[in-house]
Amino acid sequence: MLKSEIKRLVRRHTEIGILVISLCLVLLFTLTSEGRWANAYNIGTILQVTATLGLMTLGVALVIGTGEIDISVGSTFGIGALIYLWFAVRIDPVFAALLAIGAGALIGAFNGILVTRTKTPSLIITLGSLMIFRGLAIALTDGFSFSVPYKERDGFSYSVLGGTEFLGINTGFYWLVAGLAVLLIALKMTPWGNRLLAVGGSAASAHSRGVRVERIKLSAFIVCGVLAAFAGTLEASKLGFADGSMGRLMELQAIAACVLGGCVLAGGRISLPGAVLGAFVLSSVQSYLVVTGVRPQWFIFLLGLIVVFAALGDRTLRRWSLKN
Amino acid sequence: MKKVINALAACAMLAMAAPQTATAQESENNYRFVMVSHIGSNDPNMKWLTLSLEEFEKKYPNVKTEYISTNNYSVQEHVRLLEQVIATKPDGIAVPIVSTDAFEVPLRKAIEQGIPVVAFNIPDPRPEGERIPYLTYVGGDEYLTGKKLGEYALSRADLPAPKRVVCATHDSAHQGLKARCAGMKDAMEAAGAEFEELFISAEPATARNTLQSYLQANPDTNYIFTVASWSAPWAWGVANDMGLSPDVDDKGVTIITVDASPVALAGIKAGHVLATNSQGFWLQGYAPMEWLYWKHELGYEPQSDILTGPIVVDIENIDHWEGLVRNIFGDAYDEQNTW
Repeated sequence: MLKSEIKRLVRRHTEIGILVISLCLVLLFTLTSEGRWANAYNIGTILQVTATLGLMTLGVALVIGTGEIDISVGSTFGIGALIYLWFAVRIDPVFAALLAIGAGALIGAFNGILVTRTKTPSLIITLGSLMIFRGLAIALTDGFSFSVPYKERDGFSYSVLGGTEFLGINTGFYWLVAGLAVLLIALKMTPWGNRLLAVGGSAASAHSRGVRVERIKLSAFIVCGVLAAFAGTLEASKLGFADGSMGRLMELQAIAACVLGGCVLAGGRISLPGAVLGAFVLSSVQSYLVVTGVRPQWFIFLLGLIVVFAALGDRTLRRWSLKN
Repeated sequence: MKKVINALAACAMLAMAAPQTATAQESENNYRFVMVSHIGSNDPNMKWLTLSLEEFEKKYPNVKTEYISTNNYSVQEHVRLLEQVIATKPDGIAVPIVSTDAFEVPLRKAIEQGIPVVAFNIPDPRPEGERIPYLTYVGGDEYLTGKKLGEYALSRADLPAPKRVVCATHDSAHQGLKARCAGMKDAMEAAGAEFEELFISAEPATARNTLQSYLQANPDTNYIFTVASWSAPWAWGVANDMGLSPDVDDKGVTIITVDASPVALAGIKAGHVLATNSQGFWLQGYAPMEWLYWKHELGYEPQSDILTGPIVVDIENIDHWEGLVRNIFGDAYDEQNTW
């Protein structure tokens, strides 16, 4: 009876798999790291990394939900960070953040319009924009960096935008929680959310029922760009530093987090809490390898291996839940 | 002069402390020191540091050292690694101050928690009192590295007079690399040459393309200063393909690089590179650990920065340096020769 209830729960909630994996990893990391992993400071660091990666992941999950993909988010993150920090020393950081977010929306619109108007696969378009905006980030900085000295980063605006901690947790994490809540409401309780998943499930079917497929896809790309640029803003505010390399390879981590979190790459089924948990798992694994002193030569290899095992574990759990 | 006096004072302190090491070795306290570096496994200089840490552990068996590094010259990743290392509450941290603005918050937190910090390889460039309150800095003077190499090139009467000098850098945020370029700039501009700093990236294809475009647009360039030794063969290759005669002679382009790495030494020996420098990388791994140890065991706090270089390496002393570096790298010496 209990077994069948658990199976039903796993089938209905795609994020159950990643939740179980997260709990297992937290337990494993706690027991095997002699207190180096499970302490307030480190958890705070992991949550800060989860905040920026998680915000980016939420956007990618929405695009995946429509059956498309956005691999340009790492570059959008970098552009957001650079625009924010360049303006933050000239105008109030809140307005600088709005400009960065505006730039993210434009990049998202650029991707979305090209994908929907030209019918070119989103992988190709966003691969191009990944390079375009990374190149632009390097060109804008002339290969160098922007930074704001530590003593000039003590204002309220910097603090609220990820520049400091509240209750021991970087303020960026609260933005992630807020972003998750807003998007969950939008996805579950508004027509836009229903249409987004309908488009990913079957664009033709959704179109036949009057859903404006192109507009929904475009909106997902714009939200994705906004979230990636905002994540870059939070990271730049925390570091007080931004260069052309900011966000490099984060696009792959965001996609991995989505997959770990139960998002189906073909579209139609996503889990936003699962995607955030996926980001948490990736940040936790990375942190565990560091605190246990893994040599740099093995770092990427082990991280990849753990991601593969975590994904296989999730798949096994799902198969088990589908068995009678 | 002040720097030389400071360095001598630091050496004197080291010498005075040496007799105490027997006492220190008998300590029953166990320590864990972590080096959080920007020099990853894709940079041959990592070998100097990891080997010196191994030697340190042999001398002090009660100390465990760890070497953590980024592999992609990312300040964002470096700061994250640093914060995660601080969370493990080590007994000491050695870290290069790649960006003062980005590293100040986590390092001040570490110091407030009672974790002693030694800066190595790159210092906080601000004056004492304003800078991050680390114990000391152990490393080369990056400005002097560029300046001495520039002055060395100018002192060679058999070489072309510099018209335009380009400083090719792979890490846009690295304060130390900027200082190297600044030293070279001051030396070369004093001799009437034009000077420019060029970001080429650490990725070979991008670096070659960038350099090629620059040399095409600025055909009067006759000196290339690569601020990493592994990018010297890329610069030489591009100049050679363009027919710019990049070997060390009285015509064409002349290449200057940094570090006593196998690739730099092999370049000098083959006549491709004019000169390089040694900034005492081995000491930059060993000495921070020793100061962290003495801080815990004996309460020592160095009263000045500890300079470990630069020394110019050229065709005159190449054989001596090759022997020394072969001893460190072993078989890997020839494997790292990418000429």
